[in-house]
Amino acid sequence: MTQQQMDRLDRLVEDYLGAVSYACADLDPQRRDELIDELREHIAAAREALHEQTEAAIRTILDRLGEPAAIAEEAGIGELPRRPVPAAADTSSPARRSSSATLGMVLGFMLLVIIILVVASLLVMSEPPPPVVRP
Amino acid sequence: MEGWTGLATALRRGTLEFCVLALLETESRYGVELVTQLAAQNALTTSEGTLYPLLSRLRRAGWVATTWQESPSGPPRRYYELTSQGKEALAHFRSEWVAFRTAVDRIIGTELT
Repeated sequence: MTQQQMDRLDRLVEDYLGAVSYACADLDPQRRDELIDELREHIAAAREALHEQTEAAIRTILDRLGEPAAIAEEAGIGELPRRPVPAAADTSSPARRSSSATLGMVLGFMLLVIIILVVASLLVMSEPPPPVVRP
Repeated sequence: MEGWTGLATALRRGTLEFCVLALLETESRYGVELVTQLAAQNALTTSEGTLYPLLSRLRRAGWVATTWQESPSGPPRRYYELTSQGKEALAHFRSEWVAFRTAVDRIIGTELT
């Protein structure tokens, strides 16, 4: 195989990776680079297994990887559940407890303020009216 | 649901991750190897490239880690291996799956006798 033919095959691969990168434009750049690296490694490993580096064989490898849009869609899927096991699920309770404790403290404080205001206004009303100063 | 392809996609979603974890349970594997193993099961077949975003999610969840290992031919390869958290996640999925499968089988009448 001539260098020119080899360059042509490499360009096919780079064009494909470029299309995936473009389709993943919305992805975090670091994750996009990582994805492209892994795809490049996949293609390199698949090419190592080829008896002959032909354009048809390279195209088959790329076809099997699939449409750039399909890969981009999969890459856009959110995180996995962070707490998959019951033991790990317990770690969420203290956080929830502390947030409900904060809420309780705020409500308690507001109730205290209301009580003080009510008591104070009752005291003011129960005081005898100030003597009226007549001229 | 866009036809039968959509159904297969919906069924794969949420299960394929754990099939990948199970494939890594006994030994670490590199990407092409994982793809070959998955492709052997027609029902799980999807475009090979989508495996890598899936592996990325598994890595970010702390269920899978990567290492570099020498290759007999060519440059070193990235190997994917199961972490202890990944093992726990797989064990949890196994029990959930059995309960889920049993419930569905009972309702739709596909119980094995």
